[in-house]
Amino acid sequence: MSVAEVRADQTRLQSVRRGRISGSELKVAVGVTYLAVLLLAAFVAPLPHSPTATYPQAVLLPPSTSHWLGTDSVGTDVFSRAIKAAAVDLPLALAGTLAALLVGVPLGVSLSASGRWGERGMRLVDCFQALPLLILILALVALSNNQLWVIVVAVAIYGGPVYIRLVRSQVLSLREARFIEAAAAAGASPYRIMRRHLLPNVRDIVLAQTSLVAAGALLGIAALSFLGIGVQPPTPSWGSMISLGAPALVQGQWWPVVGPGAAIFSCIVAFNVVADGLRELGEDGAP
Amino acid sequence: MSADLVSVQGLSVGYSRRASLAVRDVSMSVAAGEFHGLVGESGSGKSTVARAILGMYARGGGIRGGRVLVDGDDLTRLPARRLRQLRGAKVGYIGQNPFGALHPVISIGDQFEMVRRSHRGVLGREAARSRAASLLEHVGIRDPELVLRGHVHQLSGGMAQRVVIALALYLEPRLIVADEPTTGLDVTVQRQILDLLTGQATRRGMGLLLVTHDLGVVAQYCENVTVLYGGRIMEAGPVRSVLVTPSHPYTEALVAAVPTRGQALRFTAASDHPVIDEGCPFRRRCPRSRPECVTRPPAVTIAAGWQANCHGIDKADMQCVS
Amino acid sequence: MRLLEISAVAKAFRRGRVTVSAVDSVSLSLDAGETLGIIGESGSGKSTLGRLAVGLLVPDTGYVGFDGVDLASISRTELRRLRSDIQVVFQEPFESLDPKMRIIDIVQEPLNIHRRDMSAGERRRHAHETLDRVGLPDALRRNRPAQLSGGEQQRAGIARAIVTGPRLLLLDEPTSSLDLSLRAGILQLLLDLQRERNLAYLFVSHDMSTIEYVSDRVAVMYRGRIVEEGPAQEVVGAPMHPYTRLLMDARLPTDPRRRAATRPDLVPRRPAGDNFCVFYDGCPIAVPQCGTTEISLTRLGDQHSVACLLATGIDAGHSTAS
Repeated sequence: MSVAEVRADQTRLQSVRRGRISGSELKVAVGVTYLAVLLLAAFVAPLPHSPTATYPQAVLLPPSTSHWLGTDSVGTDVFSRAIKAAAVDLPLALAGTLAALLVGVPLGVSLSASGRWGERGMRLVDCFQALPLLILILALVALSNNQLWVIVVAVAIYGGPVYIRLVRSQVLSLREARFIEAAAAAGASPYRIMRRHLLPNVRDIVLAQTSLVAAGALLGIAALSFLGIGVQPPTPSWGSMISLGAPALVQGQWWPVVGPGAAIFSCIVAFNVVADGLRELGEDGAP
Repeated sequence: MSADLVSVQGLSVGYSRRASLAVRDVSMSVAAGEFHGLVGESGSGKSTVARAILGMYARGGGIRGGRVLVDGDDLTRLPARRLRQLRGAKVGYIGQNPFGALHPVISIGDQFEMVRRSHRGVLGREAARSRAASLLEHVGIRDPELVLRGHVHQLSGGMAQRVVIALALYLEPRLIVADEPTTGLDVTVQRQILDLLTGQATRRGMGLLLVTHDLGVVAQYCENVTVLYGGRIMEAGPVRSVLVTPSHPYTEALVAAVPTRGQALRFTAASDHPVIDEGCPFRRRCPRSRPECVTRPPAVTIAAGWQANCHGIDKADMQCVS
Repeated sequence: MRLLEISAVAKAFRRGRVTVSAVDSVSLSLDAGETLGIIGESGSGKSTLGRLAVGLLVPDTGYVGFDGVDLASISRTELRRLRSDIQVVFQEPFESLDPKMRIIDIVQEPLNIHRRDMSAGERRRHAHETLDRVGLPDALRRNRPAQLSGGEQQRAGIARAIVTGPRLLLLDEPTSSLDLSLRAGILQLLLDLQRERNLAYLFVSHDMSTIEYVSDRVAVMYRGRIVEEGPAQEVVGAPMHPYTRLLMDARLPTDPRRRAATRPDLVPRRPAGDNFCVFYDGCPIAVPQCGTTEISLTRLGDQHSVACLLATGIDAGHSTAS
C-alpha cells in the first residue's frame, strides 16, 4: 500500500468506530511494519551479495538483474549494502531517541513543577540549544576517538530539549485543566496526579514526537557519516554510501546514491506516518 | 404566505460523510414584525436552521432537501454574490459570542465602514458615520464617538453585544436572526439587551427569529415558537398556547423541567440522546411512547397555527386543550 | 457544632500588578443535611467562596472549619485525608473527568485514595453500586467521558463525589451547562442523595429558580461580599437588599401569562471615599450616606441578615465620614 493511500484523510468518526481498524491505526501499523521488516531484513535476510566485499573488477556497474541497484566505486553491491546499513543506522537512531526521551521527559516534568526554578531551567535549555550543535558533536568526536556512543549522545543532545519543551508546556497547560482540580478535590496527592492524570495525558503527544525525533536522528546520523563521523567504512551506513557515491554522480553514474537515498527517504516517511497516526489517535481520545 | 419574510420549507441539512441529517424536514416562517422563538437543546439543530436562513452552513454541511425563501428569493438558487448582498441587507445576524463576532484589531467605526463598503450604494459615506453613531446611541451606548474609535477588547460583554446589535441593524434588514444573543451574559444585562433588541425591532417593523434554549426568553419576548428536538420540529404555535398547554410530550417535559418551589420536579428518563432515524427522536424518553413511534410522526393540527408532530395526540386530548 | 463554619474569610488574586479582591470578609455556616445556596453573577466571587469553603483554596485571612477542625491548622496530608468527607461536583462535567480514563476507574479513584482498607474487588463493587445509584447504565461504564452525553457525564461526576461517603458537597453550578430537560433529573438525584445520606450542600449557582428550589438558606453575593442571607423563602419571596430585588426582577417567567417585572435599571454612581456600600455603584435606591459608610451584614429577623443601610435603618449604620 502506498504512502498516499495511507495518508488518505480519515474522519474522526471512522477512527472511533469500533471493531474496525481506523485510518490512524492503519498509519501506525504500516509505518511500524515497514521499519520492522527493514530492520529484520538487515539482520537475518539472505542478501544477494556480500554487503562489504569489494570487487575491483566490478566497480560502478549499472543496475542489472544480478546487481539490482548496481555496484559502487569499490564494486560492492549497492542493494545489499543499503539493506545491511539499516542494521546500524536504525538502531543508532532509535537508541539516541530513547536516550533523549529518558533525559527529556523527567526533566520536562520537573521543570514544570515550580515556577521560578522552572523558568531558570528553561533559560538553561535555551542556552544549551543556542550552542552550534555540529561543532559540539565534532568536539565530542575528537575527544572520544570516533566511537558509536558519541552518536547516541549527539542524538540525545538534539532530541532532549525537544522533549523538555514539549512535556513542560503540555504539563503546564494540563495543570489548569478542570479534571486535575477534580483529582485534587478528590484527595489525590501531587505524585498521584502526576502519575495517573498528567503523564497519561501527555503520553500520546510524546509518542508522536518520538517518531519525529527518530526521523530527525536518522537524518542527522546520515549527515554525520556523510562527513565521515560516526559509522566508519567498511561498516555499511547510508550516509557514508552517499558520500562515497557522490563523486560518481557527476559522471552520470546515479545508482550508488539512489539506494541509500531511497532507504533514508522511506524510513523518514515511515516515521512521519507513524507520528501522524499517533497524533490522530491521541486527539480522538479513546483508543 | 406572501407576507412571510422568511419561509423555510421542508429543510434538511446534513454534514459531509455523515449518514444522519442534522436537521430534517423543518418548515417554519417568520412574518414582518413577528417575533418568533426557535427553542431547542444543544444538538437540536436550532443553530443549523438559523444559519441556513442566511445561506450559511458549517464546514462540509449543505442543504439536503427543501428550500429557504427569504423575501421570495430561493437561497438555494441564488448566486453567491446575491447571497452575500442579502446577508446584512435583508437578514441581520447576531451570534452568541460578541467577542468572536467583532474584529479584534479593527476599530469599531471601521467595522461599520466595512459593512457599508461591502454593500456598496446602500448608504453615503458621511451619512454612514453619523448613522452608526446614532445606532450606537439607540442601543444604549452613551458615548458613541468614543466607542467608534475604540476596539472590542475595551468593551464589556454587554457593551460588545450592543455593538453587534447596532451592526446588525445598520443596513436596516427586514429580519434579524439572533442566535442565543444573551447566553453567557448576566441576568441583569440579559434583560437590557433583549429589551433593546426587541425595542429596536418593533420600532423598525422588523421580524425577529430568536434562537434560544431559555423558555423564559421565548415566553416574555416572542409571539410564536417552534420547538426542535433531534433535528425535527416537535411542536410549533403561539407561545401562549404551546408553553401554557403543551400538546407534545417533549414540550411538556421541557415546560415541567423548570424548577418551581413547592412543586415536585418532573423529568424524563436519564438517557438523553435523541433517536436519529425516520421515527420520533423523543420516543426513547417519551412517557407516552407507543409502537408506531418508530414511524414518522404525523403533523397534528391542534388549533389554527398550532401543530405538533406526534403519534400520541388523539382527538380526546385535543378537546382537552381547546 | 456546625458542620462547616466560615468566618471573615478574604481572598485576593494578583492579576499582573493589581490585586483583585475576590472574596472579602465573608462568614457563613452549614449544618449536616442542610443546603446553603450561594447566588451571584459572574465575578461575584461565589466560585472562589465555594473553593475556600472546601479547602481547595487557602484564604488570605479568616477561619474555615470543618467539623470543628481548622483547615489552616492541619497538614497537607491530613487535608487530603479530609477530602473523603468533603467532595466537589463541578460545573463542566466533561472537563472535570480525565479524558484518558474509563468512567468506572474515575468513580473508583477516590476509593483507591481513601479506602486502602478495602480490597480492589470491594472497591470496584462499591464503585459499581454508586453508579447504580446515580443511574448510569452498566453499558456506559467502560467508556471514556467523551463517549457520554452531558447528563451522563454529570451523573458520573456525582458518583465520584459521593463514592467515599462524604458529609459535605460543594456543588459548583452542577446543572448550568446541562440542557433544561436534563436539569430536573440531576436536581432530583441530588435531592434524593441528600435525604438518604444526610449530606450538607454548598450549592453555588447564578440561576435563581434552581437555587430557590434546592436551598434551605440562600446567600446573595455581590463583588465578593454577602449582601443578603437568610431562609430561601424569605430571601426569594421578600428580598430586602436592592441587589437581591434586582436579581429577582431580572428573572423571565417561563409562563407567558405571567409578566416579567419591570426591568430594573442600575444607576451608575461613583463613591466619594474609601468606605461605601459594595452596591453603591449601581443601586437604584441609594442615598448619599451609602457612599460614605462601610456597611456590614446586619441581622434583621431570626435568621435573615442584610447589608443595606436602607433596609436596616439609617441610624443602624455607623458613618465614618467626617
